[in-house]
Amino acid sequence: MIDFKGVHKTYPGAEPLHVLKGIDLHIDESELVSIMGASGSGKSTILNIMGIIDSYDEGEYHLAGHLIKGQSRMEQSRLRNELIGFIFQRYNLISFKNAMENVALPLYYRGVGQKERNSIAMNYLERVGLASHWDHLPSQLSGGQQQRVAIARALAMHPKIILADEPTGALDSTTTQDVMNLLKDVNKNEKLTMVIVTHELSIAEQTQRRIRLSDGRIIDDIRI
Amino acid sequence: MREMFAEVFASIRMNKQRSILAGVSTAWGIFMLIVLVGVGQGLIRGISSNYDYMSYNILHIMPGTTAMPFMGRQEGRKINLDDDDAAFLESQFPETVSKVIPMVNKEMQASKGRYSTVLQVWGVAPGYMNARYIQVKYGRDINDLDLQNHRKVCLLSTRLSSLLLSTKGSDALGQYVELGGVPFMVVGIYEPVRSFILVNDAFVPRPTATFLWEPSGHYDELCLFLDGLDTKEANGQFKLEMYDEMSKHKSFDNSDVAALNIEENMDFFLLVSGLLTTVSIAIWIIGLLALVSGIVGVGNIMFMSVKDRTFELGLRRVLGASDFSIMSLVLLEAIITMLIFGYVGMMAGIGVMRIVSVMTADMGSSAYNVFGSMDVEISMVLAANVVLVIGGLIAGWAPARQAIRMELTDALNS
Repeated sequence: MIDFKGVHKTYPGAEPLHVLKGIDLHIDESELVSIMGASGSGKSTILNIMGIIDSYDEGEYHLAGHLIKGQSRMEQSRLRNELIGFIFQRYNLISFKNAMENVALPLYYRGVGQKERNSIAMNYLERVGLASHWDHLPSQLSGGQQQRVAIARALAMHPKIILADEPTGALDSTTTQDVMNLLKDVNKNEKLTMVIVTHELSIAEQTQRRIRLSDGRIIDDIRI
Repeated sequence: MREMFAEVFASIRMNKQRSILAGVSTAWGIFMLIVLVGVGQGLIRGISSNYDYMSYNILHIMPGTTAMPFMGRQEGRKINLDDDDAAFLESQFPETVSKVIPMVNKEMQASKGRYSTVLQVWGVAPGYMNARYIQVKYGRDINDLDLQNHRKVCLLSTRLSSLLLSTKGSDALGQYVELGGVPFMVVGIYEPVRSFILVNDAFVPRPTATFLWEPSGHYDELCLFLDGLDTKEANGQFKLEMYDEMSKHKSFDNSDVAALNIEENMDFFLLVSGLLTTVSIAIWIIGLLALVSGIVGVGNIMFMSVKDRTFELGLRRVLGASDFSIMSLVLLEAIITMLIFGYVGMMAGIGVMRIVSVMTADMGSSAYNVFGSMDVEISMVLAANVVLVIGGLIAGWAPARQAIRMELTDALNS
């Protein structure tokens, strides 16, 4: 599903920052993987490259059989929309849209009609236990509820891969476990590939494969 | 598209203060454009109305007396005009002279019972009154049968009708008045032009006038109806050529300006219309500059909007929004903002112009108008709409480009 071969990334500047130094990584379908590492180790950069949010300088990256290199911006948008679901630490919901509209937003960009969009969004809100809160704005939801809306939004697109950047970083321990249970459940039932970037060992320990980064290199890759 | 509009209105609602700030500058710009152009058009209409009785495409040739000897003939020779001259001019300048109407013009006594007055009688052909913008208020104009049958019929001004026949409205029609001692039946009553031109005048069929008062067959005036003289140079050239041809035809020196008297309004018309066009262009430029300030205002606010929404627009792109949909969102917001507030400004401008138009309706005098109606024309409203949409596109273009040029990682970290 995800295939990195000798991927390098350097951020230009007065002092160029060589963030990824030849990453070789293969992630299979329906794997639940965590990536850990200290700040600046390159874990968010890997996730951004996986999500076609950022580019790389050297090497090759294949996503679901597509070589991600040199695509037009339109093609990149399409691939992101069709293949990837994103979950962010700060939920990243649009503040003036209610829960259902937030979940339906990626479907809008796929060209799904409003009625069908809303129906799909309601189904996924029901799955994450928030159907009764469909008309709540993000500001009217707790952190855990917002993250569950974000998960519903990621799932609504039927992606092949879920990329989660510190999905529990802003949550208390109880809510963290609720969200992790939901993600594990999705991984198990939907057979979705899931990559979670985290700095919390307790989170990484709940995944089947733990990758540890340091200074732009993979130093550990443990399958449980 | 409906959903795109919903997105835009949601964004406008979310940022009410920002949108209102952007809109106020637009409303002010379009208001100023409407007011300036309205005032300008009122001025043009007012000034133009002072000259609208002038027939710019008519050149009058009147008999004169030579002031120079020519080919053995002494000066002081009367140059008369007749049917042969009218036919000559029509055949000589077929491209420019569409028609020549000869006229007889005599001053005489008019009377009815114990009332009498001195008036000017014009022997004319059908079409003359129309060409001079003289409106027949009651009855009819001179027609072809009047000419063929040498009928003794006339048209009087409203003032003469009232003075001689002591009647108002159409009551004078069918009554008789004596012109130079000959009874004429009144078949029409006309309104004097601008209330003070052709007040003491009467119009009769030309053959009747010739038969009664000019049996020599000479005319007091040839009216040339001209086409295609759009510039001062073309007009001057035609006058020179026409005078030269007439000098050969009537045997006088072509530099003898006293041989024929020429009167026309074309040069004056070209001067006035040129000035009014310049005023109109200047007013549009000033108005558009006022609107440009509105466009700059919206542009600035849109830049702020894009900056404020960096994260949101980045997130939309991450979720699959194409560059086109992001650009459409920003551009549509700019256009809708400009249109909504532009309409507010436009309605305010049209309303103010309507009020001012009513208030200035009685300004000036019957002799000279300063302002005409300042009502805004529909073409102006349509032009303002086009300007608003184009303004919105201009105002939103650069911020929209900025929105799609942002690096996604930067946008999400903003």
